[in-house]
Amino acid sequence: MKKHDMKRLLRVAALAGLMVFTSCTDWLSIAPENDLIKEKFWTKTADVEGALAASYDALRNASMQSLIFGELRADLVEFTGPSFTDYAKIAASNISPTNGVISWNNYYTAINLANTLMHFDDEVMEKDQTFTPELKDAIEAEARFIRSMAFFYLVRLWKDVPLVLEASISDTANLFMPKSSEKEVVHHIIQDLLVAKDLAYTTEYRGTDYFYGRANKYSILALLADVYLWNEQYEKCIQSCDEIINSGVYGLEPTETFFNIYYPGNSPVESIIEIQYDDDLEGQENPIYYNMISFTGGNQVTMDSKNINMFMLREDLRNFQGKGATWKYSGKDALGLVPRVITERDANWILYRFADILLMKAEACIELNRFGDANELIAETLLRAGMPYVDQSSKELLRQALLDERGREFLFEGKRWFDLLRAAKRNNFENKQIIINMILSGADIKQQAILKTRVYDTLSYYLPIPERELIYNQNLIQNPYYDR
Amino acid sequence: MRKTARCLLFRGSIISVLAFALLISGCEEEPEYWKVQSVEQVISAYVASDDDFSDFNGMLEATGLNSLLSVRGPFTLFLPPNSAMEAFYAEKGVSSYTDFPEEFMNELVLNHLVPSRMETGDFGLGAIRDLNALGDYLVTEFSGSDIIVNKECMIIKRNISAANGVIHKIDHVIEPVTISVYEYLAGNPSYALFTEGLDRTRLKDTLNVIEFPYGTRSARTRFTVLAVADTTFLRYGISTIDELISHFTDAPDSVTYLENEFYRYMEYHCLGGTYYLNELETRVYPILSYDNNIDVRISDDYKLNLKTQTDEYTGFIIEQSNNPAKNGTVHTIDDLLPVFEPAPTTIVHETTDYFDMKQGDYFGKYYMRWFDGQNTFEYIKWEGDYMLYYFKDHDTGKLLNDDCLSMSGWWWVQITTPKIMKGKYNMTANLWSGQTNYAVYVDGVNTALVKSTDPAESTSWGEFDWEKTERHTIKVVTKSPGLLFWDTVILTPIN
Repeated sequence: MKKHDMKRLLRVAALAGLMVFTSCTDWLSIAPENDLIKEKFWTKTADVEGALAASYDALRNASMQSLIFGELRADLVEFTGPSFTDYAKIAASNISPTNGVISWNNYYTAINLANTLMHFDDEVMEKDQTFTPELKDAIEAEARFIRSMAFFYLVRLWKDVPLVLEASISDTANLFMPKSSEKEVVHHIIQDLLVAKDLAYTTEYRGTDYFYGRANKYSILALLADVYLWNEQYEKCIQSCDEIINSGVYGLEPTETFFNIYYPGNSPVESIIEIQYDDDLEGQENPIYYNMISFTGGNQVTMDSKNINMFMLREDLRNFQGKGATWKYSGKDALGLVPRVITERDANWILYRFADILLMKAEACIELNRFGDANELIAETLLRAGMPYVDQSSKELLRQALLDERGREFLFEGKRWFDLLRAAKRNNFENKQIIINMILSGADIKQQAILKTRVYDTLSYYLPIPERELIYNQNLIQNPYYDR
Repeated sequence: MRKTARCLLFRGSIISVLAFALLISGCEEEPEYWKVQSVEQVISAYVASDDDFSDFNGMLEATGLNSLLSVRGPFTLFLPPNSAMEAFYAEKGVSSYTDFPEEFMNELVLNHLVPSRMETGDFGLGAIRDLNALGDYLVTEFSGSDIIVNKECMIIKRNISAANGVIHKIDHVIEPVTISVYEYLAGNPSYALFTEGLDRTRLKDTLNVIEFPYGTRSARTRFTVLAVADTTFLRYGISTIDELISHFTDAPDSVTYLENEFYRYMEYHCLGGTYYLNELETRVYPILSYDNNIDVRISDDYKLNLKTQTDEYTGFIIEQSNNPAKNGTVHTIDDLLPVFEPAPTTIVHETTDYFDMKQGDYFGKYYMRWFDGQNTFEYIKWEGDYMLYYFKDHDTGKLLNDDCLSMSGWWWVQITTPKIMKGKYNMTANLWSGQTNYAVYVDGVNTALVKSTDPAESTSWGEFDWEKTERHTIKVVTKSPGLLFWDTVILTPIN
């Protein structure tokens, strides 16, 4: 290469280098053209409402998993088919931290979005005068509900979990939090809900789908009652239930229109809060129809008839003339005659309805030896279903009657496992035989030999922390049952 | 012009050279080596990385097996720490693994290795599903929520995931089992009478065989012994071998004869095949000679020879069962289990379930074909282009154990069944014959002509009333060129 060519090349290289280094800081501060950055968001009410919608959407993303885990390890619903092989292992008490379906991501996404909203909404109030303190409080109440709901699932499924209350919005955020005890998390849930219930809407949106799809005072009270019940605070559970009952806003859907609870859903009588779906909107169908409930036959979920028939008569309205509980999602009437069509894949998932309030109160009454009240409450839902009820006089019989009635009323609504676990864990797992008997029942001698090794340790009733979480966060300690 | 032409030529030649070089380098394909795709270590690296396992690591290196445990697998390794190794040295009267003979060290390491991935969730009360690298079964039991391996080793850390398998840490070395089922019984004074019974009937000779020459290799024997403890005999007032013999026969001098009642009693407690408790199913299990069966029902208990009218049965003493031996297992039953002919039950005989077929490396792994229809197998004969061992490496949902016999073109194929209990049966089969009709001959008699349109699994091949417990031949002959996939023969009792 000639000398002058080399010189020219060097000059060009030097110029290029100069351009690079002098413009470096400018390049680092240039905003991405296509993305929305923090400084341009959180400026107006609509931004906060959008974030709230995202938080609800995140909770909705957790709904399938919540429904499945609420039934999986219990005795009334079986998840069959190739889509559920990992779930089937959990149902057989063969649970490994490497099982791919064990994940708490959806819950923590919802929590983080709620945290983020509550972190930035003060800024919006400074920038947008239409975002009033009252509006902020009401929206924060909903965010607290979402966060509390997610944490409640986390403690019921994993027991001790990280209590994440700060948004992950900067490099300095602590992403490696250790677990907090179930007791601490539950205490925080209660505090959150107590704050929220006084700030939330009450009946402002009554008559619209907002009323059933967004948290208001009564849905917060319903969750609070559930948490108190879990935490064995029975008086407070009853107080929360009574606030809902005495409001006059809710009641039991009458027998004649009972199926309105499921189709079209959002029962103006009974519904307190439901995760909303709408097949008329793009991507808003309920994922339960993807591989669980089929319109062409071959459901991958079946009801365990043998166990159900032990406490549910065919004449029970909730049997839907033999169609079973999947009819709640695939049918349109209580007689089991008219199915949904393929454009109606949008059965809501009901978080709380009035029947739940009555039966939660009944459960609390039993534990406080208020047997008369408990009998009356249990009778209400049975009579609505066209079934008689015989009063029980002993605590044990009432406890069983209550469990059975909750089993009938909420079949395939994602509550059974939590009902059984709550009953078993009372008084430091005084009644863990409930879970043991359920798991061993129906197992042959070969299966029993295996299951017996798994059921006596109460820590086995909770899921392991996923192994990948332990790799990423060394401050997490595995549930000792899974660390043997 | 000249300069331009020279430039062009120069450039052209460079391009040609480059293209040629690319061509040459593209012809050879680099072999694809398995690479670790995960953040986990391979098993050998895991063992080497922790000083607590330095002794076992030393054995892996000395035997060269650390190389094996660096490759794809999957493997399951039961890993004892140095403290367990030291206890083992003390038992053996040595000071280090380097004092072990090479062959013993090799077997010791292989005894801790299973060539598949077995997590503790896969363990039951009995044998681990897959044989270990020594061709033996490792046996698992439960003590509370603890898992015990081979009666003496507790798993102290489960399911340590590795890139090529899984590791379970154990608190004792798993010593290879070397004794036969007979030697197990002989070494345990609780079975003195039962052992003496095996001696007197000379069943001991059979039960002592661990392997035998088969072609160019050796084949392993597999037995299950249902042992009766002395304490059980004592319940019936039996405390000596003479009392035991006279309890069953009036001819105490001929107990080595097959027809002798005492011989039949002792033989009735010996099954051909190894069946740990977790492997038992509700079906009949033939005894050694196949002259009789033991009926097993699995429900809330293991029930041997259940009398349905009274619900009486013989059970297992579970904590004294699942005893591993080199050639099988010994269970302890809780009663005498006298000779009994169970009622005929449904028998599903698989066309590939023959000892000589199972000895091949292909079995359960890949296809194999043979051309000599008369001399290849003892109980399978054929004529045709060839016979194929057809195997699918995934659950077909149609083939039992994912394999069957297959023929094509013009063919006949004949199997000889094991001894079938006397009784009345309806015979059907899982057989697909493409577009061809075929005739069925049972014991040489034409019993059915099955059309290609007939339902494969429910068309009867005939009803039979067999007065003796014996083998039967079943021959299938095609009526036109076509395919055959023959999986099973099913014999359903006719009441």
